[in-house]
Amino acid sequence: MEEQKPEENSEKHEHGGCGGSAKDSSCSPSPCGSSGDAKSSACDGNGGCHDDKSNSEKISSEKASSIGNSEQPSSNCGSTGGCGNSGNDDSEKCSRSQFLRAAVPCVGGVWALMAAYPIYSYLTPNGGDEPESKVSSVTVGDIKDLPPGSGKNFKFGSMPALITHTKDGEFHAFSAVCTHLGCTVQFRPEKDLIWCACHGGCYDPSSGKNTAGPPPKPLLALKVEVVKDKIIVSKA
Amino acid sequence: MTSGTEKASGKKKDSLLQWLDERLGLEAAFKFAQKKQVPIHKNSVWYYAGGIALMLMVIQFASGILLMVYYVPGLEAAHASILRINSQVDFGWFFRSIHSWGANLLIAVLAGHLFSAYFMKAYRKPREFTWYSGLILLVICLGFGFTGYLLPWDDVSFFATKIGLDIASKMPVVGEAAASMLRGGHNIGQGTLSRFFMIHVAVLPLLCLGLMALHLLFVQMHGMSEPGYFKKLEAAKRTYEKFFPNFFLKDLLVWLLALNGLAALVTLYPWGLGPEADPFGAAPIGIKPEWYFLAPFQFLKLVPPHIGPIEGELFGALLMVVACSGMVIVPFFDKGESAGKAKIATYYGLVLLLGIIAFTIWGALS
Amino acid sequence: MNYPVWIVPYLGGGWIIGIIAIIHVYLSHFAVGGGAFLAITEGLAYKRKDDRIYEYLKSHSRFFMILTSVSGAVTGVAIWWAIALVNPDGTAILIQNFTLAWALEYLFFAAELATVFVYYYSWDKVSKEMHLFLARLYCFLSIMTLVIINGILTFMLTPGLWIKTHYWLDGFLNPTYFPSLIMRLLIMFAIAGMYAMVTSSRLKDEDLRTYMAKYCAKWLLPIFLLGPLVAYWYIANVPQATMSTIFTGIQSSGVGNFSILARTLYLSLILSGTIVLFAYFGPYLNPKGFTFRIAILFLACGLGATGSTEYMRELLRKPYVVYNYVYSNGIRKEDVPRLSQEGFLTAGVWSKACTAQGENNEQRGEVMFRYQCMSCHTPTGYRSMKKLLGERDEDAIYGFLTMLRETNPEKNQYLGIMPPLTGKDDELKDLAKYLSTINKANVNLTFKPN
Repeated sequence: MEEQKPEENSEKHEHGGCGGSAKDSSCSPSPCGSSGDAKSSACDGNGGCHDDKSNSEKISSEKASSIGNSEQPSSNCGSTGGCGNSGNDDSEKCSRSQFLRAAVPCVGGVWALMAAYPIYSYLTPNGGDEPESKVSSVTVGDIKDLPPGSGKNFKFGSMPALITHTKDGEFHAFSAVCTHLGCTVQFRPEKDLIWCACHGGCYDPSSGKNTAGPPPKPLLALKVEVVKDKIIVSKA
Repeated sequence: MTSGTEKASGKKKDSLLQWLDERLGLEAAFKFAQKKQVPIHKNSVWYYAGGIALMLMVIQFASGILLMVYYVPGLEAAHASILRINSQVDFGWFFRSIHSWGANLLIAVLAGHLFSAYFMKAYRKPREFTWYSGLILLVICLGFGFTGYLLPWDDVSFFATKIGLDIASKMPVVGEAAASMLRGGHNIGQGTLSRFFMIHVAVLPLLCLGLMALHLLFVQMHGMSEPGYFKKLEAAKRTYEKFFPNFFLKDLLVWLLALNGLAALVTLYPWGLGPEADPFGAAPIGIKPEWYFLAPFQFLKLVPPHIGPIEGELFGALLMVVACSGMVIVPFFDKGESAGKAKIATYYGLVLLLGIIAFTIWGALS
Repeated sequence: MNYPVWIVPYLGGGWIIGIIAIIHVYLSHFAVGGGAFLAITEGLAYKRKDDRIYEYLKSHSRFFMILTSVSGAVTGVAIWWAIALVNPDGTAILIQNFTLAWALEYLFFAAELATVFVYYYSWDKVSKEMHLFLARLYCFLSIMTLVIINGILTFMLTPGLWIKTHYWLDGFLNPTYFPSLIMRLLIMFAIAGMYAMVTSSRLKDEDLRTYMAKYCAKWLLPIFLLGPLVAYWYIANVPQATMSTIFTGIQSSGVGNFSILARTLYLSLILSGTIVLFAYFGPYLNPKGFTFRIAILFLACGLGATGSTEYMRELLRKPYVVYNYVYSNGIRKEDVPRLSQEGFLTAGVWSKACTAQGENNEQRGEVMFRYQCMSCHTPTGYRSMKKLLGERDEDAIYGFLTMLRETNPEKNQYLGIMPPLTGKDDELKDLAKYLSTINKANVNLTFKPN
């Protein structure tokens, strides 16, 4: 077991524990440099503390370090939380504790992400209770209510829509969602155009083409049918 | 851990620390934390109760905020929104269960915290304010429990609220006014739900945060309370451990354990939801309040409808207020000067505690 | 069908196996991990020439021997007894397939027991080298028991090629064999460390106690570092259908769309995560403050994590004993069409005899219940039929049963959770009749106050 540990160390750094913890800095290929600034004090003393090296040293120094450890409990790593402070010379011991110091935040980060995932997932809207409207056609109203040269906003499922009755007597229907930033557009009879109040975008009332202002695209057109004096709008 | 890393790390960290220290006075805080000590004696284990309560409180705030994302405090929508949280929102069951189980655990831990502090005589000089802030915090938490219980708008919560408000309205002078203010009308309905929601998510949290800050400040000012027998020991025999890092690390472990306990309850016994409240339906058979209100509930059942000229429920409620008032006057009664008074205080506490336990068990079994 | 079944009132046979198995898992994992712990720590004691560790090991090994050899062995044998009694048909299939492995398991088990006794009673009586050798031998033998039994355990969830070839080694070295073996070894090291923390927290010598607390904490390192990887490897080899049941749910009523399986998975993740933090903040950073009481609570957490993981693994296999081959009521998947066509009761030796004894339809229905339902359900206790049947009358129950007989997943949504029912129409009618008598008792009960 004891002999195995350093191997695990290296393995850990290559894959595994740090994956996805967004702590790339603490997962650098050299196990020692893992915690960036922690490198300086103990690691340099060891002269590079690489696994293969310390692996062979480990067995011999394990003895020394642990004996030293139990004989001088006051300088025990645990009680103060680190070993750099006790000024002991068993560098091997330090490299392991340093490894731990890097590994624990690393795996701790993974665990924290795991704990944060439910929150992320909870807050992600899954649209469970507002099903996407599957409306394919809507009866807007009677022809009488919409004389030539007028327009009207209506609801097409969950989407705002607009119908215009141009002066040539044709009916045209569009999605009323402005292609600029998604405001709802309206028909302006006095100017005879479709206009967006947010940034002044203008569309042609018969084709829906963007004629002035910021909109980059024409409005999405819908199909209009007149059946027995009723206006029925459906998806194009 | 902080101190260890600090020493082992290079200059970069030191300069960062210095930068922070100059602006935040970290040094002083560290020094204070180093100085703080926790006495070690056979009852030390109770020192953890406050920490656990704090952790649970943090969990309650966090899970409560998350629940508010989907909860709708409307008469038609409340039950449906909880149902949706429980069954459709990812991990909704998890946070709802954490909030419900956490609330129950919190009350239990607070009860332990209260009585342990009481029996260790932690209310004595100079800790009177700590004691009172704690008492008020407990009342606030019971208020959280009472108001939060209605929010899912299921049948038991509806009737529990009805009963609770009816009892409140029996109080002399202000009772009727207070109950009607809470109820927001003659009957429990949208008005009640809105008011309870507002109290639960705005009023009580504000009060609670402020008082918690005070409570913790007082604890830091006066240090850990030492029980009498510990103070009497000669100096050499009184052992302490440092709060930081020794006690703090142990505190962390206890928090982790409490967290695991909560996780086990939440995952193995997720909190359910009863059928939607029907204001005109009959009360469900065997309806009972939450366990922490069982004792007063059971006590009131015992009181006859009329005692002399006053109504039974009023009499019972007054009796309970009198019984609990000892908790309020005790800092001035038992100042630590007379052994006899200390004994009386202990006996009073025992009787009260056993009474509450007995009535709770009785209420649960009946 | 071919053997008599054991009726466990109220609790149900499943829980008898469950309770024994839970205890056994805790003890056996400790036995194997503890073997490695004893061997390595004894080596350490000699290397460091530290007699205090040596003395500690002596007392620890006493605790160890009593716990593992006595309780571990008793519960281990008890599992085989219990499964043979509760689910004889399924057990028979396991034994017929793995006769050799089974024999080997007993061989290693006997050798392990013998070694642990020699090991314990030879402290200070044989040379140090010899004693260390015994410790290592014990470690080897105990790992071998795992190596063998792991094949049979993993076979049940992932029979792999065996389904086609029916060659025992194909079943033994199945897709999850190696990930499971490594995972269990890691868990065993961790549990050994946690048990040792409990015994070492009782040490009087403070220096040694501090040293041992840290030393024991390091035994959790392997699982801490490799656990997630191996778990991923394992899950990648588990049948996809079972993985999807985690999230689509086995038991979704009332508590939302999360099955007990998913909830157990989260519990196991949460517990494992906190255990790692715990080991770091507790014994590793603050070995002096690691008291007996905390050690016990820590152990409880560790066992909780192990228990919930095992429980989840067991649930994954539903509704099979051997995945895709034998259902949890001991009926082979391939026999289902035949049994439904030719009749269930007459197909088995023992069930045929029981049916012949039965005087009326109700009694024949009860035989059906015993052989097809009772491995999971009890009339009034655990997974109570009374509760599940609700207010259905005999006709409604019969309608429900014919639905359960369907083998097309679109017609029978219970297929992912329950084996299909088998039997001819009149057998189902008998079963419905019997079930309706349970139900009637239920109706009477609801009129009781409270």
